Amino acid sequence: MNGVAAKAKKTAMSSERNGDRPARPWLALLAVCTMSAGACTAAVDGGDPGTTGTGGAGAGTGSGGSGTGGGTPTGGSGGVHTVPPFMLACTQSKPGAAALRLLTSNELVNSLRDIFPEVRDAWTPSLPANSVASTGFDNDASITVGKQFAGGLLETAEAVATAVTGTPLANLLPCSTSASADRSCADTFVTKYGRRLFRRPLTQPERDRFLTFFDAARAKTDFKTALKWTLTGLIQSPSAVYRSEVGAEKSGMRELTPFEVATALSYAFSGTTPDEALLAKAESGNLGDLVAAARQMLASDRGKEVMHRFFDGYVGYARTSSIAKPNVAAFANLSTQMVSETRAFITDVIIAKGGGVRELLTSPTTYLTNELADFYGFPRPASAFAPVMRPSGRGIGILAQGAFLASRAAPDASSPTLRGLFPYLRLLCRPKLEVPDNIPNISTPQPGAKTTRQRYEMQHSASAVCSFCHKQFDPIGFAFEHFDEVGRYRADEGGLPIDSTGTVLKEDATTPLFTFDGQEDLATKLAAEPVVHQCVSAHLAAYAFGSTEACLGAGQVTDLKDGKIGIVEAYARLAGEPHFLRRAPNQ
Amino acid sequence: MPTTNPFLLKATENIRRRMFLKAIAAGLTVPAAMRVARMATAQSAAAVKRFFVLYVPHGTAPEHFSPRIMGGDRTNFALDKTNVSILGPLEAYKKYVNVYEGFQYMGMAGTHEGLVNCLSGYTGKDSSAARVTLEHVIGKAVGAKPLILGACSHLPFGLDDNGKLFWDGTPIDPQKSPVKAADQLFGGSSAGPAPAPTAPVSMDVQLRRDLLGLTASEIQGLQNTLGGLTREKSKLQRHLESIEALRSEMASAGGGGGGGTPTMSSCSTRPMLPTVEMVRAQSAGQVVDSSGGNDYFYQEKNFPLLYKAQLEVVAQALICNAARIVGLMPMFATCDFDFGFANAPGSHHNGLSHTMGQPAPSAQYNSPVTVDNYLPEPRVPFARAQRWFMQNLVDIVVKPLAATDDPTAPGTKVLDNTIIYVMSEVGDGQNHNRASMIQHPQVPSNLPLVTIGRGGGALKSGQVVQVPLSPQGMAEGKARPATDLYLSLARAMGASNATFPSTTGPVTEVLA
Repeated sequence: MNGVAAKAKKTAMSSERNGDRPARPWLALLAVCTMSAGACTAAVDGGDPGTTGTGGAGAGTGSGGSGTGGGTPTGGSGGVHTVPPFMLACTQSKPGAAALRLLTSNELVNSLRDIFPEVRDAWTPSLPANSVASTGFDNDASITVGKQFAGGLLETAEAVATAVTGTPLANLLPCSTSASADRSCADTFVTKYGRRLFRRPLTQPERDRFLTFFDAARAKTDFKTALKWTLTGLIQSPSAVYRSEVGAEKSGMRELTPFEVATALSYAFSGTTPDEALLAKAESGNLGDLVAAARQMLASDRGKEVMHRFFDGYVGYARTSSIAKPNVAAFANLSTQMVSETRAFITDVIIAKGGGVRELLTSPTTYLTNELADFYGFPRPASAFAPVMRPSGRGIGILAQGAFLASRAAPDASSPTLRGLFPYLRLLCRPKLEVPDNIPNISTPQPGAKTTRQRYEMQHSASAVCSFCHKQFDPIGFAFEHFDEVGRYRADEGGLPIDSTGTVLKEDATTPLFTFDGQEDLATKLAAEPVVHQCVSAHLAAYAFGSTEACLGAGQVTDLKDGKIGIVEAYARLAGEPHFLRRAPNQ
Repeated sequence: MPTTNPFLLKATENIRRRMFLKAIAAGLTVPAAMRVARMATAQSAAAVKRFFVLYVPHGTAPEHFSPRIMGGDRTNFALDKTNVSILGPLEAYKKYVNVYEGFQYMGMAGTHEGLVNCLSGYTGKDSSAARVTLEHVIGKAVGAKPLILGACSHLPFGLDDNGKLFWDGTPIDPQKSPVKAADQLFGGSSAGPAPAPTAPVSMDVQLRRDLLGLTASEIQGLQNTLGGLTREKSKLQRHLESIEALRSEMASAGGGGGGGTPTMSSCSTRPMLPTVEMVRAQSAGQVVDSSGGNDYFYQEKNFPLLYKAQLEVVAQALICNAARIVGLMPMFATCDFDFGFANAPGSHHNGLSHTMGQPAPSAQYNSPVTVDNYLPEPRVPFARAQRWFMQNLVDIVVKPLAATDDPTAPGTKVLDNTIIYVMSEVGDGQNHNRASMIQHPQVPSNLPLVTIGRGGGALKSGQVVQVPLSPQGMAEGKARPATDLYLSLARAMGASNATFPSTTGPVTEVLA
């Protein structure tokens, strides 16, 4: 056993000793994969765009071919596995760690627009793009403030403060119109808006600190300007830009305060700051039924947007509008419509109708424009993005959406690897395998001579070295071979018959979990697998909690699997998890 | 101290002669003319140095990249071996060029995700630990704020590891709009007189700095409440350092906002930026969506124009000394744009860069180590794609820099005082090597590292720098840390105290 295998076994054993964690039998397997990874094809490199793994031990692989004698270590860059971040299920729910969670750009902008609706369109944010974590989401609790973000935040805060202290100030703060506007007037402003920005009342020392700053500024400039800089300070304060989920130590745990719970609730389920009503409840110490509150928030436009952002990160379908397909001229004009199609699918199937994993994967409807209907060869809709039944045999669920299929394909061909990796990583929660060195490209399309499946099988299945990893996801991807690189159905491939049968393997990467024939069969069987429901639940939790440290109890997952609840309801029920009220001790 | 650099001595002599003759023609006496000439050269000795790092994704095809050295003389080499040689466009500027062989990226980072470590020399595998990349190390040392640009440098939705090339403690999101970059550097939206530098409102400057002080004290106060939550304390510490860095930057710049312009332009008029104006017209006022929306600046079809527009910004920023330190990231690692526009149809990453080289029939294990042991044909499309990056760099940046008198140093060209560093995250695009090595069969493969320019004479150019010099050394994996090269480039830029991880010392062959 080499070092990596030993470490993997040790890690697996350690996991097993941890009563809350499920065993991960694939860890030892991965060590073998690590050792055997070699020359496969490039496609796995771009396996799951938008996600990158961390962790894992390293081992170098030799480069150069047999008989050349020229192979040399490459610095240990290849064939290393990455442990997936998810704990799929625990006997009992287990809260994660205390955290200061930096607001995402989206959350910050939403908050400022909600707190200052009078100037919502009078300023432009200057914030850099959010960092995306290995979970695929941009709201991870580990994200920190660098100089670029600090600078962008200062610019944004100045822009908001300038707008607020302009003409609207007279209405927002009537005392400011008086020639004798003074400290007490500023105090009114600081107290009122500080509470909204900090999502709790300011402490007396905090008020004093900001008013002292105001006084110093006022000594140098006029009232409005001094107030502008004071507001800028409030907006960029750490108490404003971090969601405090720290609580206080109690009985060996950290109990969150009502204001912290209200804040977590508001951002997790409406993507913005708590409104006055919620703050008032927090102030009273009685937030009521958190799950009911979550449901109510998710029903709002902001709440729906929260669910859409989940699917943006989870499926990554929105990137379709930025890619190009050189062999399909019509795609340039349809790619944005494809993104809208999937958004409409999520809006109706998941959000409006309360669909679960089963509906996500197997719904027979899609949502088209006339152009898209003609492009796919489907019936035209009654109106733009109205529901249309997919013809039989033309795919079902989100895995048959044009935006999914086009974004997980090469520019000029379908890609069983890219398509197979989504179910492998995001529905089965299998570990991400790190790409080895020495990866030749897949052979170019050979219309009429070889099918895509034949090309992939020649390079991946025929080689024991490649197949060790690729057999875990390429066969899943064969299910989609009736769909070309832009998601259109094809009965054959350049006159050659298409074989869309395959096998999904168990975690041991050897035993069949199930076999399938085509996309519809794959999707239906995936929807029946308990692990898929666990995996979706784990992703929902990672998105809500900004971390993978919490573990969900069995009940939540069971209800989702049994079809008793949909994805939105499963997400709402996260508000009832212990993680929403308390955290693990110090870390 | 008088310089011993032959390049500077020659330049100084030229300037003195020219200024002396001009002074005589203007009617000055000989002693007075000599004084004027001496003053002119004193000025040139203080030439402003510029640094530009350009990332070219997905490595290279060595058979189309490596220079052919003639007669064992590393200063006598051909860059344009065929009409698709990647460095061919630089042939006319060879005296400014260094090609570096025998270097490696240290550490455990793998394949393209190792991008996060390339320019810092950080050796860990994670992408969360703080690190500082070459351009920021130099920028800090010389007191210049780097301008970081991108062209489709990350996916919509957010910045993942494949886009995290530049770091200043935390990853930098490049400015993806050349329009915004140009307007920040040069002001306004059309060519014409550059706006007079706006004197910062001193009261605002003071209040802004005071405010950052207030925020810093708040962060410290919050830290003190966290008890044993060490992870969160560390998070706040990084925030605090960022705030302090902003304050320090403001103090040295004498004002400006958080995202202010790095340096005031020395050009008296706003430079002509025709490609930037095309982007302005095409993007119809769109701005980069901070949350990563699917706007103009993320779309693959716009990439060629965005790259050219950003290069245009870079060229004028350097010429006008509006930004002394610049980084540009065109595309992200594993980006799979189709390069049909460069007469190289196929996806750049999975299609082109992963094309496997094929040994020439004559190449045997015991044949000489040479790039000619590969058949050139299989990777012509990949070479065309990589040459496209280089051709545009030459046309839009190198040419004007080589032709433009340096306004900060009479008698020299801007390129004389600039270092352009071109790099990638891997060596051979298919092999993914991050160390110089001998590949199948008998083909030396190096990280594609190139400099163009002389850094004010501090960098000896016009050579193929081979470290180690022997093929045997490369075969044994004795490549040298790329951070040694960074150390050398930093010193050439005047950052004499710069440090990087894993260094064994500067590459003395390149330092004048």
